[in-house]
Amino acid sequence: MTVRANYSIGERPTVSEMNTFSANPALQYISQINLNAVTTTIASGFNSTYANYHLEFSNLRSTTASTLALISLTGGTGTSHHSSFRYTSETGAVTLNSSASAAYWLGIYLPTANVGTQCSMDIFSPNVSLNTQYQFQASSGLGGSFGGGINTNNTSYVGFSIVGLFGSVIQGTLRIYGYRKV
Amino acid sequence: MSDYTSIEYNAETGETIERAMTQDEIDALMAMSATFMESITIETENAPMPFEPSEPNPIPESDEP
Repeated sequence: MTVRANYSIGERPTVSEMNTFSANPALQYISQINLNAVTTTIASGFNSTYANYHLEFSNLRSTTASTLALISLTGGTGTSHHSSFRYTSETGAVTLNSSASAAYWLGIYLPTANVGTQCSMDIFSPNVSLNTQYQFQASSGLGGSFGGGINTNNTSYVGFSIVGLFGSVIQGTLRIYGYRKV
Repeated sequence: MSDYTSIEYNAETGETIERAMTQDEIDALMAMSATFMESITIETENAPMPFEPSEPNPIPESDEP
């Protein structure tokens, strides 16, 4: 998409230009998935249309306290998922962990059973032959958390899974967006 | 159907496939869970209260003589 940046005072975009802008938002909605399983795999979630993705988790929850919604890039091998997170409760108590795992990023910490966590996550370069990285921040229970990690496989992944630690059923809503390439 | 349910959602077609997790998948998840329980750190003692300064603010010097 060609973006004009040289409008003069009083000049209006053409209908064609307006339609082009409308059809090419910076953040493009892709799909919504209702989560209600130990493992939810989003196959064909990544492709070459977007380099980076935004994930919006709403009311993410589990019946198990102090658990994780793990993230796994499908097809990962070796000890390639490296990650960490930090959660601080309203009392100042801190929960933190780091991991080098064959299959999982630590993902999102869910401190309180049956209480929804709202999480904003970005995944960078999943479908290109580069390291894939993620970062997130979330409001959870009576506190907040942040974290991130890297996958060092340099593999073009086409999908990912959300997996409940301890076999916990993870519920909530996931909306996937793609950042438009310039 | 096992309690360990796996749902695969195809983002392109919208189709979903539900199945029980394999024993290998469950074993890998339990191994990850055990590692997490061994390594998690929870710091609760002497935790600073949020937004409470560690030292009192200094009293500003007066401009008056």
